[in-house]
Order: sequence, then C-alpha cells, then structure tokens
Amino acid sequence: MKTNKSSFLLRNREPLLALAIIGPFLLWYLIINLFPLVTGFLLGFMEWNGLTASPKWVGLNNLKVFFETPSYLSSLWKQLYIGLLCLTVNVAVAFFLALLLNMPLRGRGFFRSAFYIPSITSVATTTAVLLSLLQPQGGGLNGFLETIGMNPIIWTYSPFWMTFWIVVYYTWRSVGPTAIIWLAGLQSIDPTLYEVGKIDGAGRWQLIRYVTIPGLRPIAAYIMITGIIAVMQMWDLVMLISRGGPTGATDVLAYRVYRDGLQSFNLGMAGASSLVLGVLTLLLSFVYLRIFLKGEED
Amino acid sequence: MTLKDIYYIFNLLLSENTYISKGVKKLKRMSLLSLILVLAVALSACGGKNNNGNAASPSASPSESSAAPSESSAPSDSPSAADDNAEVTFVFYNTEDEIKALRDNTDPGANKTPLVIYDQLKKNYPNYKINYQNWGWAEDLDSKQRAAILSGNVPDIVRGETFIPAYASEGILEPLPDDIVQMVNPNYLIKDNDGKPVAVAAEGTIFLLFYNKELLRKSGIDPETVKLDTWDDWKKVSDAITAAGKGKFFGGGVPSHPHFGGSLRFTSIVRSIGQDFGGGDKVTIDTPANIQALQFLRDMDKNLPKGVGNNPDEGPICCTLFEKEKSLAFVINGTWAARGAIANGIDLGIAPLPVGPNGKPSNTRVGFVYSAVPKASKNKEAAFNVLRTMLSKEVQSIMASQYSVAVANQEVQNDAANVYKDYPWMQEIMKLLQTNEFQPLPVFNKNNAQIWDIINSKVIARTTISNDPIDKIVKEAQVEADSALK
Repeated sequence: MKTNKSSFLLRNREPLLALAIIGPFLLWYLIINLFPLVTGFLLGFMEWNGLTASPKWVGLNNLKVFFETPSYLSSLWKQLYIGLLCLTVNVAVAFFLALLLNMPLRGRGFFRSAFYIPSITSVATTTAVLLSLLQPQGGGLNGFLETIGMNPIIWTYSPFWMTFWIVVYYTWRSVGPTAIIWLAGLQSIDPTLYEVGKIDGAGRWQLIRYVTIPGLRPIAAYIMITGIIAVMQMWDLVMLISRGGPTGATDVLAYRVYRDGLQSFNLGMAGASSLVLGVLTLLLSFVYLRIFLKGEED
Repeated sequence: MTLKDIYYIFNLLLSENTYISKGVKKLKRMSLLSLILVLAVALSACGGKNNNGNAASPSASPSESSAAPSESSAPSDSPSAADDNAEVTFVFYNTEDEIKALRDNTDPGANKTPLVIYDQLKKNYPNYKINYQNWGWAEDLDSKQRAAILSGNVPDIVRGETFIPAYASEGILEPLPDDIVQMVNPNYLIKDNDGKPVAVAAEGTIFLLFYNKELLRKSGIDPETVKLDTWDDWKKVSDAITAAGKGKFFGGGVPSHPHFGGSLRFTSIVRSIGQDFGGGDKVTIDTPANIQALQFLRDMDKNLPKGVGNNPDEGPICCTLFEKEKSLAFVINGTWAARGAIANGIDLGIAPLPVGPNGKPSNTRVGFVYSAVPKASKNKEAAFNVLRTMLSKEVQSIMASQYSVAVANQEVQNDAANVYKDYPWMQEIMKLLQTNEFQPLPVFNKNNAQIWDIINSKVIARTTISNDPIDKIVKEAQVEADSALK
C-alpha cells in the first residue's frame, strides 16, 4: 500500500508540484474573482435590495429597463467617449515618452522613476490636490490665470473642462506604467534592423514607421487591451473629480453601477449595467484582437 | 427580432413546468446561496479591519442564544431584563481602542461623547461584553450592515442616518420599547410602515441662519434690529451686503451643492411654502412652489462668489469664506457651525430660517445618527439597555452641557436654559425642536439615491450653474425621476 502511494506520488510528482504552486492562486481566483463574477452576472436578472433574503427573478426586465432608459444609454455613451479619450491620450503620450526615455539622455533612470511615481500614489489624495487647484475662489489654477491677466474659469460649470481634467488626471496617473511597457517593447526590437534601415537611407520618421511600430505590435496589443479594460471600469476618479457633473455630463456607466449598487441598493440594475459593460468590453477587445491578428497575418 | 420578442420568448421558456423553468428555480436557489456566501466573505474581509477583535460574534456564543428572547416576544419596558453577562455587538462611532484613546485627547474642541456613553455603560452594565464596532459611515456602513444582516451575523445595534428609514420600511427593525419612545423628543424617532417607532437618534439638529454681525455693520445694517423673517427680508439684506462689499465680501445665499449638502438646505427652505420632494412611491419636482423656491435659490446665488454655492466641496462656504476669511455674511448650517465661528472670533448672529411668501417655519433633520435593534438580534434586551443608557438623562446632560450637542432626551431639552447656558444658539434650537415636527429628507421606495442625484445635480445645482429656464429644468428632472421610481 505504502509502495503504491509512493509510486503514485513519484509518478505524478510534476503535476502535483504544479498543482501545489497554482492551487492557492486558483482558490483565491475562484473566491475573489470568479464567484463575484458569476454572482454579478446573476444579479442582472434579479430584483434585490440587499435587505430581504430572497432576490426576485425578473428575467430580462433589468436589461429592458437599461435599454429603454435614456439616462443609462447616455451613461454608457459617456463611458465610451470619455474612456476612448483617456485611452488615446494616454497611449499616445506614453509612446512619445517611451521614445524619449529610450534615447541616451543624462538622468534617464531618474525620469523613468519620476514618470512612474503618480501611478503608485493614492487616488483620493491626488484628486484632492487637483480639486484644490480647480477651486473657483483661491484655487491655484485660477490664481495663475489672474496673475497672467486672464479671467478665472469656473471649471465645475463646464462639461468640456471637467472631461478635460478627467482625461488629464487619468493620463498623468497612467502614463508612467504604459511608457515603461512601451519602453520594454522598444528595447526588444533588434538594433540591427535600425542599422539596416539607416544603410538603406531611412530617416528618423521612416525608422519609426517601418521598424519601430511593426516591432511593437504585440506590446501595442497588450497595452490596448488592458487599456480598454481599464477605461471601461473607470469610475473612482470620476466620482472624486466631478461626481458625474456638471449636471450629469461626466456620469459614466461604471460610476452609475456603483451608485445603483451601493447607494440605491438596486442590485439588479447594477448587475444588468455591469453585464452590458462587461459584454461591451469583451466585444471591443475582441474587435481589436481581430484587427491585430489580421494585421499579423498580412 | 426586437428586444420585446426576445423577452417574450425568454419568459415563455421560463413558464411553469418546463425543464428550463425547473433549472432556473435550482439556479435561483444556488444563486441565493452564492450571494449570501460572497457577501459573508466580503464582510469578513472588509469588516475585519475595524474590528477590535476582543469579542466573539453574536451568533458564536451558546450563552447568547440562551439569553436571547424569542423572535416574537416583545421586549419589556424596564431596563435590564437581559442576561447580566450579555454580549452586544454595537455598531458605534468608534472601536473600544479608539474610545479609550479619547481619554488622552487634550484638544479642547474634541467631542468626547462616545467616551461619555462608554463610561456610563461600564458603570450601568459592568458585566456586559460590548463589542464596539466602527464600520465607517454612509454607503460603506450601509453595505456592511446589509451584508451582516443578510449573512445572519447581525449586529445587535445598527446605526446610520439616511438609510435607516429604508431599514424601517423593510420591517427588519424591532419596535422600540415604550419607555425609550417616551424618553425622547418625537423628532428623534423613525417609524416603520405600521407607524411604530423603530429607530432613535441620541443627537441631531436642524438648520439655522448664522451671520457675521461685523459684515452687517460694515454694510450699514444694524445687526441687532435686522429683520430676517422672510425670504424677501433676507434677500434685501444679503443684496445690500453684496453691493457694499464690492467683490471683497458677499451677503451669502442658499447653497446648491450637487449632493445632500445642497438638498438638505434647499429642502429646509422650500418646505416653508409647502413644497417637498414627495417620498415613497411619489416624487414631486415639477410644481409651481418648487419653481418659486428655485427662483429664490437662483437669485440668492448671486450673493455668493461665483462657483462657490454649487461647488461639490462645502468647505469654501462654511469654513474658508465664513469662518476664516470672514468675507461671507450669511451661512445656513447646523449647530456645529457655531463653535467654529466663535472659535474664529466672529461676532455671531443667529436666526431661524426665513420663510417664503405666506409660509410657515420649516426645517429638515440633519446630523441625526439613528440607532436601532434588528429583529434578528439575539440580544435585544441588552441592546435596548445600551440604547437606554445612551439616551439617559445622565449621559445626555453631559453631551449637552459639555459638548453642545442637540440631544434627544426630553427632560434635558426641558432644562435647555440650564444645560445650554453657555450655548445660546442651542436654546434657540431646542425651542424649535420642542414646538415643531421636523422631518428628515423623504425616502423613495426605489432608486432612492438615484432620485436624490437627479434632485441634487439636475435640479438644485443646475438652477445656479446654468441659465436654463427653471420650468424646463423641473420638467426634465420630473420625467427622469419618475422613470427611476417606476
């Protein structure tokens, strides 16, 4: 019997070792990620306020309400366009930053760290600093505008400016990690390709166009897909910077999910909105991947 | 195929006696279990941070279940019908360690009411094991309490402000014993759908109009004889101060912050002309009275520096402009504002809120921290004893006289001239609370927070942020709020 056991352990040593390593993570994933995911999905088909012990099954009714209510559709649209702005600006700025950081500059290491630091600071603290700069009376930015002879701006009145500051804050916070990933991609490109390009008479822009960009395709795919997921989940900085204002102009769907779920305790609508957001995120990632893979095949 | 068709087919498949229907029923049971498990895990993960960890959960001890009265039995009116060694999980301001730390706090402005309650509980019930829990505030507290209630790990005393009426209407709270109800001013109670009081606040206040007498004098207005009875009176005075201030100081108006900071104050004003925002299954925004009040709000906003009245941050009005810079003549605030103003050397004037045309005095409860005993509590009697102590004359007198808190106890309120002798504004508040019935903000049966978001940001704040016609603002908001309440 003992021999059988020993031989079983010996025979399956590698899978058991793998299971021992992966097992705790798998368990953690099941409890922390998969279980809430399934629960959230199911909530979309129920009506429940979190107090009574029996959620009511309502079928597709929550989704029907979602697609028939203009404010939900408007929030979805705001999530898409504000998210797209954040993603585009962040990816572009991070790319140019990575190009700069890849150049043989003095103090390059310092700059790499400096750009990364905002991403590890507290959102609540840094948005509080931003808000104090945006204060209409005594705010730093208006003080500056007045110093240079311009009229102060009431930032909180303007949908344009509140969207602008959300994009600026998102980029400020996310640009460091994105630039580091771009940088890793840039440094993985074989330098001989640049040398060959130079011998063939390619200029700086042509080297970027024909060597750098094609060499960065896998990295770009990673950055875009994780970026799409991040902006489709974006709500905390909206809550802290604009509270969805002015008059709902920046009220993104993810922030509405939070309010439906944890303020109104309309868990069914929170689940249905999450479902829509999740499906849309999958769809966008899928479309991007299709385009990317098609490019790879070509 | 339209969405309607898909919905029809789906419902057909789920009709009685189909395999799918049976499967769905199983799924519902499974999903319910999943939900409870997830919430229980979430609670244990989140709640642990604030748990002082020196007491067992209420459901863990067998002695508790023996001490617990049956679900159906009504609690007795007399104190201490409970086991002398009962364990009570008390969702409170602070954990035990945080309360004890208050003893060493030398800040003269520190509010040590939790310590006063703690000491009295130790004295009255030395053998109680009270597990003081700090579960935060607002939605953080609400979500933890709901998860606890649902998971069966129910605290013996729950706490909160705006969401306690929702607990009351769900019927999950035990009716308060008569002696507790008799002990307090009725303004401090929350009733359930059957009209039974189920939650009580140990403290709570209403709004007053505070003013800086010095700015009135600077504007040629005698602060001792100034008339501030009606909206018109107030507007004339505030307009005159703004004009005299020439951009250096301002009269001040009604704040329109795009959150409860705006709606609590605006509702206090608008109620004087008989307008409210409804409640339950009805929301009323699109009314002539509301349009009239919103016009007053817009007119008064001109007496605030631009962008301050409707700013998401309340700080610039109360604390920067009124208290520190002393450049704002009037603010609407709760009684807590008086201490800060006096500490900053303001020659402070106080008046009840002005009333609208042909109106009557009105206000809204603010800062009411309600406590209640859930029906599922296993230590109801002991929990009610904790509430009795918190509301007792001994404790409430100290809260009133030492920390100028607007307390609930009727005996203490009747002795306002004595207990609040150092705080004249509190005597004013007590008179108002004893002679009027004030309501909290209404609660809507569905999507309460969403509807208040609409009122806060798309009615109150929009009125002062934009120049949109007010009738258009209220009509659009009414449609959206009706849809949310459906």
